[in-house]
Amino acid sequence: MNGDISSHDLARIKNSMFLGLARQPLAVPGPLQALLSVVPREPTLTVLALAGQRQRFQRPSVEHRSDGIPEAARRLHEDPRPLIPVSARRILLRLANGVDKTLADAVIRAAVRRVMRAGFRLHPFDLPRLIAHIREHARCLGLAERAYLALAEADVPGKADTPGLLHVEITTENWTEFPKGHRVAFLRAERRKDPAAARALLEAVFNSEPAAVRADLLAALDVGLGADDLPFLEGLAADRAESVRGVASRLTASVPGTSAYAVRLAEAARCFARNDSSVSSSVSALLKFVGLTNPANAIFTPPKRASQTEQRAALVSLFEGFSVTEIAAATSLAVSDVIGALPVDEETVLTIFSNRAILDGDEETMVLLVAHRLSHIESLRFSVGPVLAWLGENLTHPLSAESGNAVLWSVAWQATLQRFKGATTPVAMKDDGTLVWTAAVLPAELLPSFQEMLAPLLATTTRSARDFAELVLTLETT
Amino acid sequence: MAETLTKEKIEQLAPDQASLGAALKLMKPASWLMLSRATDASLLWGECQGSGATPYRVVVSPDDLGYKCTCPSRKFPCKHVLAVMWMHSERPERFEPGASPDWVRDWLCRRRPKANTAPQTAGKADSATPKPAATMAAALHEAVATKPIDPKAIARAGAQRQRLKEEREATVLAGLDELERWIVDQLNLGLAGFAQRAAQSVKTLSTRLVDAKAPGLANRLEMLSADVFRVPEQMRGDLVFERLAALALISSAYRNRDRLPPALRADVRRTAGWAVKREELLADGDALRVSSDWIVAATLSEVQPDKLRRIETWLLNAAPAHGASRVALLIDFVPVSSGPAGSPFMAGEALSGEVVFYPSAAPLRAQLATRVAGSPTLAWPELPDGLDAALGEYEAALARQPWLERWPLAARGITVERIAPHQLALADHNGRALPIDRSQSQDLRPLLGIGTISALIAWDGRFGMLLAAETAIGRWHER
Repeated sequence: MNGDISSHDLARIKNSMFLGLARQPLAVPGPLQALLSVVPREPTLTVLALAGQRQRFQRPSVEHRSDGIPEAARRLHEDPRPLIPVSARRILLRLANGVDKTLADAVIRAAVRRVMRAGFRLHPFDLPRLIAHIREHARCLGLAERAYLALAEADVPGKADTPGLLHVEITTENWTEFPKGHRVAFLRAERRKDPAAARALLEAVFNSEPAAVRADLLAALDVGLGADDLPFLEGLAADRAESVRGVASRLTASVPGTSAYAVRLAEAARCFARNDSSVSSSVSALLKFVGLTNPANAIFTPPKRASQTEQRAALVSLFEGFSVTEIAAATSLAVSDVIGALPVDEETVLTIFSNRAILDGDEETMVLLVAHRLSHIESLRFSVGPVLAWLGENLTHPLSAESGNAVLWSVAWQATLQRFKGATTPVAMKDDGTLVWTAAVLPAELLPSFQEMLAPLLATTTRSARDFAELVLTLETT
Repeated sequence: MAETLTKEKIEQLAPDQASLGAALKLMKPASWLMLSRATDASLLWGECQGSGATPYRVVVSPDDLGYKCTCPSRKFPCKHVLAVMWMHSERPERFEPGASPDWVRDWLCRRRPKANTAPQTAGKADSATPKPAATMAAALHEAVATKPIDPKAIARAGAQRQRLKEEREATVLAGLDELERWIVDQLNLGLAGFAQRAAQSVKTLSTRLVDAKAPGLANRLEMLSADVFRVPEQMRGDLVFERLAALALISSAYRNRDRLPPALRADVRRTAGWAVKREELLADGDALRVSSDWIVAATLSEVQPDKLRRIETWLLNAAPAHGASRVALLIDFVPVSSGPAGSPFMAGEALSGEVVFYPSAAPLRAQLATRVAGSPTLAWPELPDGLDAALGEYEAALARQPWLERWPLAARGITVERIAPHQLALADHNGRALPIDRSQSQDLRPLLGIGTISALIAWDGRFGMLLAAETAIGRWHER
């Protein structure tokens, strides 16, 4: 080409072509006119070709910003925990990509918790893939993961800054800077350690919090609730927010030692009575195996109501907030007797006890409740999966070897194994969560025997369970 | 020790006689980029070069006759698996002992356990409708009984090919006439409104270009109507302007192809849609060949408007000699209807071999000609400092091949920065910065604040796509 098209000429050509040559005819720049005279074709096309090519040589001009590297990005890489080892990282991603979609959230969270328990952090490059599964769960988030969340939220228009995400860990000094979910979890953990100190933390900031946050933070006092909390709770009877008043009122009614509490407890305890009738040998054997006494010591007689709905409502009002331990003390029965007395299809009371065990961090009771369910589950034709999933979601530690063996050798679990062996349809071959959740709750020392049990099954059935087991074993050895 | 693969076992496994015949044809060494086995021969694996740019990967467990092949065949086992078994039964020395690569280990982790494979095989043999017995002897007999060569038939076929070629040339030129008229129409109407009005007319014209045997141009045109909505509104006019300009250039170059240098002539023909077969390319003595160690930098997959899945494998030369090509791009096209498919390579893996580049004024697209097992980890190559040198290479390539779509930029000393919400850029210490395609904003967030990186970027003149990066905490790969 003889001579360049100047920027000015290029702008004029583009202007004509953008507006339309029918409206603004093309003025061919001087340097091109001589060239066009020797090209035997539509001159417009030649000008377009040359001008377009001229433009392609313009380098992009991008405006630098002083905050091009946000603080959250720096913190993301300042996490002092070591990165997950390469081999474990590969397995974690394989698990995340292969696990059934309906189980993915909970299973990936459980896997991430195992990584964290082993003292590692996730590889930053995997956070875009994994963060959606763990973002709401404080137990899955260390500094790097929280910093990544802060980085992502900075791209969301109107989203307020959450500087707390950038602290190394949540402490009594900085807890108010964290998002609500983290604060509630922190307050509950503090209540387990020292109820009075945790309440004092809450009292100190309570009035400065918005109503929605106040109600949720207040609800965290349901852990370790005691008579010492009464003055604070009674003082909230006049709170300006109805939600806060409601939570305060519910908690006040649940405070041990009050007359209302004593009346409710006595009424709930009346549902349990000693019983001498025999029980099935398998149940007895299983509970004995996990250290429970014979469940035949008690019988459960719920209040009779006309419909199931009314029956459920009555049980909720009777048992809401009580732990198995409290009922056991009130009835002079052992905890295992109380649990053993409950029919396994008595979902309402079992759920209330389970929820309370989670709040109290009472993992021993959680394991007993699961053992109780597993001992009966086969006859009800339920899947073992959800029971183990519940356990896996709420345990902070893997099961003990003894409890793990109890799960593996339970009638229900063995029946599930047999069902998978005989499966002939794709639906039946699919792991409903039983296997992968078993891998998630078992201690590392039982995983090799668990893997052996899986060996005869189809790879498609056991893929996620094997991946989970392999992840745990890899983390243990690195 | 592994069980021996016997002739009887292979014949029993073959789905039909034709598969054995096809397997026999694959037994020549040239078909296999690599053949390897575990030291105890409990596993065999190999890479067979099909018609595409990337090879099919085959793994066989002789113990229990388990197998896996990445080819899209619906016969099980496919000819590649049968060929591996057959070769191992007759020529086990062709399999070099070695450590199994990641893709073989991955298959092992996922495969059906041994206990279940035996009934499956037995079930096949006992099926209600017995298949006709396939025999290796019959396949050998068919191969030997070749038809006599008829010189007249060869001459007739050659003349017909020439006639068809001339007819196609004429048809393509007629298609270019239509394309040019359409571009002039768009200019008369004004490019400002192109995005709103173009979808239907693009569809009509691209159909005509396909009829005119110029599918490459049809595809470019259809990509334009899709891409115009992928860029911010203020950039759409410029995008259309440049893309139509490139089409006008291609049209002009095609008409004058006999006056172009051979490499550019090859470019313009391929751009229009003339395919170059793999065997033609490998037989081309003038083709650029680079033997080196390669890092699989990225694997990309995109469905094109013509319902073909375009699978790209970007290879980074880990040990480029002075002036040698730094990057090679393997492209495969697979019908979308054949189901999900991806590159057989995993981003991050290493391989050694010879890459043959398609003749081009700016060589990038290539075929993997030979392959030997690569070192499991390769060091990232030394790259030029900053973006200016890389942009200079891009501009030089653009000058040589004016309708270039994307070009790899390789540079070190790069940082990822945020220039706006959801908009990242790759910046160097000289203040030069390239915006990154917004589709990568989420994936690249972890690279913010990581410090300087060495980067391989696919640059289209407007946005960059980070293909791979060497960072302080390991390699990042687009996948």
